[in-house]
Amino acid sequence: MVSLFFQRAHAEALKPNSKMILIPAGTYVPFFEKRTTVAIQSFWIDKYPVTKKDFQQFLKKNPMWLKNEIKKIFADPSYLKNWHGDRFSNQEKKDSPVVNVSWFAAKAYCEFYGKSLPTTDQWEYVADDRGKGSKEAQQKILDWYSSPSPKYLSSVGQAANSYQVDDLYGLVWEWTLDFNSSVISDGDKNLFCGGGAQGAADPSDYVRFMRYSFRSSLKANYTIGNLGFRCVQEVSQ
Amino acid sequence: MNKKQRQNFSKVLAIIWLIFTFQTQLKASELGQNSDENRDEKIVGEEKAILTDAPHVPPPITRSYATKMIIHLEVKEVEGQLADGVKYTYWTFGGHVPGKFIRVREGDLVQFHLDNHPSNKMPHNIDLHAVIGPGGGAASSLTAPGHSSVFSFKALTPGLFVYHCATAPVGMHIGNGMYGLIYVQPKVALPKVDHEYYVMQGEFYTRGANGQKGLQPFSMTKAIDEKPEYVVFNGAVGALAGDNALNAKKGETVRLFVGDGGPNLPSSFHVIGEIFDKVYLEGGSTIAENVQTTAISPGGSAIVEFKTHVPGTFLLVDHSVTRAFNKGALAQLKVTGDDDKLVYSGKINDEVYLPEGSNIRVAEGPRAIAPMAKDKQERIQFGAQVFATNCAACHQTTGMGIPSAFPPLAKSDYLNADKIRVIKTVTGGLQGKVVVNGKEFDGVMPAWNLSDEEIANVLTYIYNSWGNSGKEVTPEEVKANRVKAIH
Repeated sequence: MVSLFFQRAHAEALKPNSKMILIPAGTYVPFFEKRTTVAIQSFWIDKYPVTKKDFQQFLKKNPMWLKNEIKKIFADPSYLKNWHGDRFSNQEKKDSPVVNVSWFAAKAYCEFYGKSLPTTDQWEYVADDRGKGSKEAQQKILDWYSSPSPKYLSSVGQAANSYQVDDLYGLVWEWTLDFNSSVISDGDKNLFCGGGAQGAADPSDYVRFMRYSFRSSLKANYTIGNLGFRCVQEVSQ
Repeated sequence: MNKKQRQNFSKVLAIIWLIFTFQTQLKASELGQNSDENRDEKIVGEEKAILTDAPHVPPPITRSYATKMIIHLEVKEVEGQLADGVKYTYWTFGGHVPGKFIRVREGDLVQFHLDNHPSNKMPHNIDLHAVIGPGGGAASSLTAPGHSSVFSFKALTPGLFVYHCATAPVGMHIGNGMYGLIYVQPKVALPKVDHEYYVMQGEFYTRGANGQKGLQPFSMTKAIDEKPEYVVFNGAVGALAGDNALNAKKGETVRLFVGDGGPNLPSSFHVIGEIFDKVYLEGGSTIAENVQTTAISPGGSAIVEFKTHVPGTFLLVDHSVTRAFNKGALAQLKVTGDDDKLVYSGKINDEVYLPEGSNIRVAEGPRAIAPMAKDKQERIQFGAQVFATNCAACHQTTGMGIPSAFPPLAKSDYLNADKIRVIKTVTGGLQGKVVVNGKEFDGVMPAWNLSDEEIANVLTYIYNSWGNSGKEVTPEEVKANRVKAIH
């Protein structure tokens, strides 16, 4: 029974809309708290953020995650804003990232396909792009963070980094598994004013600050118009 | 000392110690007294705070009791104009830079709602310098887009306070315009004035250079290096200029609530042509009088007051001059009314200034013996030298003169009409109106203390240059027609 479940999940995972990239093992220095090098095991990560079309398929098989069915504690009132049942507005591109989903919903999606949400370390490790975060690349990222969200999001499949993982920035913010443990400072997890730089590996890396700030402002049931997600999968032994 | 003396001495010591600590305790409690009183002040009713956009200020609070003030401040990321042809994505408290002006009274209970519009990309919070508590409120207000944070505080201390977003990276949030002022009006309000205005200085760090057109993103490098491209009042170049200038009538009193949002640079705040009768230093309770320029720290403020005495346009500047001149730190206060020439006369007169003095005087010519010219050609040659040394300064090497100041010699009707008159002019000087080639001149030409030879040479040179009549002037002619210098 168990093996059947895994077989089916594996088959689901191999569907063309969930193309995954193998990220090799390596090390990186986390931005906060532990400034010592951390070893990252090899893992698979979705090439693209989960799209509206992807999420629609999931909803068809899991109706308890529909807007009208979802338990109130799992998402705030903006969950799947502008969706009707399992249909999204036809003004939206089907290959644009799904947004207005809570952490609970994102986690359920990944687990349905035998995957999980990436940890903050895994996500940041991929975004770190083997240390290729040059000042110019940073400025490009800052530009995106500085411009207001567009009314209709673009399709996924842009801005691949050296791992060939797309859309890590420039499209949407993304959920991580442990988003609420990304910042600690005397048990007070708010970054404010100059104190925000305390304990940071590189206070001139405004780009990473912005991501950490964003994650710090979240609660698991929040749904936001520019917050989506992607999944990771362990390397099978 | 015997036992009795020791006991007495100890008693005296004990009494002195008691008095000392009692006095110290008294002083310490005095310091905290006002804020303790304010803490305990009874709250009567509630009202929704009036928030205004710069340069306007909510009206003075007239109630004599503390109330609950409800404040909704919305964060909105909006595209706006930073300078002519230059666009910027501002992050704002209330839709504009600087953010809304908040006015409450000492002792009020403030219920604060920070609303982050769902279309925003970034999380935001707020640190109000009027708040005594962790982060000035920032610890309790980190808000994701589409959400709202609520917290409350007691306004324990009066003063003019800065508020700003304190989300990391702070330099970027503030650098994008997230600052404003909250005024905790003291229980004893400031005297009434005719106008109250809200002015706040801040810098912008754009990727492109100052003036480069298009939508300019924030430059992290320039911000960290503290090298802004723009330093402006109220969020944009010219925000308080032309039709948007501040206004007052002559004789009215003006109060400016001035803040410096930074993120980095202090302001040397000055109003050109005015003096501050009063400055509430640092936005606090100490008053300085008769101040020309006051220093305002980033994250700080000042209240300045002055009575206007004459009409005109008075420029508000950061007196770090290249910020005003090159980066936009310039605003205008237009004062209308009748002139008061006693206080300021304006330009009374425009005179010609000659280094030797303003009256006709004898000009010293070259003292060396002038060479004797053999013929007209030599005369012209030597004359050129004399011209260059003495005449060219005013009449120019082109002989064209300066319009409205020095008449032309080129094709000059005055010159060509009467050789004798010219000799008299050079030797005696000339003052008063002359018409040359149809244009009027009213200046001063000095008398030249040159020899007959030199004058003959220079006049011959002039007559044979620039299309003039080609005459020759001889030393004998000069000698015969010389006049004394006019006084």
